[in-house]
Amino acid sequence: MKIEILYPEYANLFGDMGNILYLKACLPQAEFIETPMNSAPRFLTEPIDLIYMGPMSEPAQEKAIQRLMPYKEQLAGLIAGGAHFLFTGNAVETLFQEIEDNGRKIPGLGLFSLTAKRNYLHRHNSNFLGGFQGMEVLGCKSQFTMAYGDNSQNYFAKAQRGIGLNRDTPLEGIRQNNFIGTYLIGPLLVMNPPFTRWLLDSMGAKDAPLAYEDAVKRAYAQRLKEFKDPAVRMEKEGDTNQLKIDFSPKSWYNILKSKLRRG
Amino acid sequence: MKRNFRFYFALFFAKCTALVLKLIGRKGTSMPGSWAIILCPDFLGRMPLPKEVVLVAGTNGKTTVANLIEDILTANGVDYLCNRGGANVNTGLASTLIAGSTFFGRPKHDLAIFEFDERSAPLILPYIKPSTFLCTNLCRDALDRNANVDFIVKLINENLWQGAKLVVNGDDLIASHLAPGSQRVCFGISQLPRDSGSRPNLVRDIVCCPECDTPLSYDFLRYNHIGRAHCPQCGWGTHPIAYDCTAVDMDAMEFTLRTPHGEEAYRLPGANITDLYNTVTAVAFLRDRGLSYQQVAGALQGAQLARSRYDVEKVGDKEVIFCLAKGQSPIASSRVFDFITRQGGRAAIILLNYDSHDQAHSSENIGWLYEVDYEFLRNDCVKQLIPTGNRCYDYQVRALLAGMEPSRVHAAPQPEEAAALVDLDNVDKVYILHAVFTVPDARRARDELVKRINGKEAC
Repeated sequence: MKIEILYPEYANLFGDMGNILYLKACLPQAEFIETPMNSAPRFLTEPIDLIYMGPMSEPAQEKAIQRLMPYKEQLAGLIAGGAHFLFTGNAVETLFQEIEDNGRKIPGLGLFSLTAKRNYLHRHNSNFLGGFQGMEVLGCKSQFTMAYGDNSQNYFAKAQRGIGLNRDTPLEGIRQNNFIGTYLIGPLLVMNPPFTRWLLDSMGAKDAPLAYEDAVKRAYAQRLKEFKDPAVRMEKEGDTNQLKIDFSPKSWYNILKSKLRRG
Repeated sequence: MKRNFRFYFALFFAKCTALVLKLIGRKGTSMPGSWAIILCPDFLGRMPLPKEVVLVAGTNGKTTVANLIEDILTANGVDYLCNRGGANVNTGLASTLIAGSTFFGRPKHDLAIFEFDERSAPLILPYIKPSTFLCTNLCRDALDRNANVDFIVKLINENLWQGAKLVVNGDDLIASHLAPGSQRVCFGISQLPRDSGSRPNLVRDIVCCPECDTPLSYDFLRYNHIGRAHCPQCGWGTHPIAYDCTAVDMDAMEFTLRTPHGEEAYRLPGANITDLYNTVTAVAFLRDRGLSYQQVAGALQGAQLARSRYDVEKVGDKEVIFCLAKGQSPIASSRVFDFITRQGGRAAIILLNYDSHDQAHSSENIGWLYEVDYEFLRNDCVKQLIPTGNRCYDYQVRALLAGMEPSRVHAAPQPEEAAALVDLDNVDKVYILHAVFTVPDARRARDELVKRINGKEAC
């Protein structure tokens, strides 16, 4: 089994390399190929069982688009042919029509008719609980962009809590044949043992056991319990560069109360 | 910017707020400045500044460096204004400036040393034009807030004025290349014998030349992306180092610094490589600013690192070590793990560096755990790793994936449970690693542990 990691010297943010660490633990016999930006991808010349790309900084994302652009047709062919892909975070945006950045338009590979809009003044941070193939998928988002377009026929997961491509849709990510692109970042495969089981099965590794299955499932169960708790906030305060100050008389009352309590 | 009625109204209101807070026993490190900026959004631009403003920035070490600089200046009788113990964002700086000004806002000091939050660059740098911009290092940190290091570099480069003199870590290829075109002085630490024991880290924020994408060739790599390198294709790389630490004597706790004034020896106030970097940073800045060798070296003799960040307590025959391992900060946590395993002995580690705010209100993004070098903890001196908090099972999985023996990793949701799991017969020291805001929980673990150790001694 061969797994190709695209541009890991740049596309390695947010702990997404945890996905590769976990795949290595589950598939100790597999060959992991790291393809740097200055090299041609291996998927051009040989069959690959999973092509992976993680999130990266915005300048690196633009470089990745430039490097992948000459292979646009091959990538489209592989997706149509059922090759397995997992693109996480803003890696999926490289395949969109374009990325808008404060009026500047950065053309993507155009394999999916979606557009991403960057807003450096507001970073969106949230948790996600959604359904995929009857499983519950959990994850976290941390991004400057929101994506727009119709993914109703090819979404990855439907949100029960949290947001989809943008605030107005519960439909998260892209799934086309065996291509999965998602804004869920971090060690997605570690955090979602049911999904990882599905992915391994789908890749033809039905016999491969999940590494540290009990421990991973216990962590999953704990997080699932939290994400289903209505008291747990899914969206976190982004850093909007706006001042946050509590004007309310209650805040002054609380200060006085704590002072009095301390005597 | 001219001072108008709105500015004076904001200033007086903020001063009154500060007075009220003082009367009720609050420090008021942020609120007066918050009010001032709410009432006058460009308050920082209108507020008269001390003649010389030094901003101390950097992902890790800025608090320690700012404190060290301030201690040395104090020891030498230099008068200055600083935001020590206060907020390092725009509201904190505004509060400090208000507190350090006369009734009409004139500065009472000629020099200001401000610890500075890089993420707040667009809110501070357009208004405050520092004479010196000091940067300890720049690396990935707090992904929810800081996103990635390219973003932080962009914020600084877009907002820092060209007239600022940079004093930057030459061993950090990101920090030392900030603000191209500005005057800079670099400090660093030459390759040391201890570097031969360096282990590769999981993350490196610069791998390829930013000019031509060729993989960088490292002369040596100390940790993460800290080291000296050049591009074999175009020559881009480490700047000349003006203040270079060339030798360290850990027995005498001294280091040698090659400076433009000659070779100088200084006392080292801590054993960690980050302590060395922080001290070199402070010394380089102060020597470059004109303090004499005697002034700096003399003051450094009495300097101490903050006990809130590293404190060793002897309880019975055990050492209980309280240590800051910043949450959401992969490089800081990796440095602490590296330090622990270099100390040897038989150690248990209680981990409390989760996000306390998320624990109370939401659910923490654990992505950063996969950027921390848990692999270091496979060292035989780590007898136990006991993560706590709601995310303790995630930490456990991370440690297992790093290759730690399952029998050495125990998850305990509550701090007291973690303390109860420490195998006192098999460890000599217990590290309690906490985040900035989990100190109360860390104290609970420590109290329980001390009770257990004392109870065992009594028996």
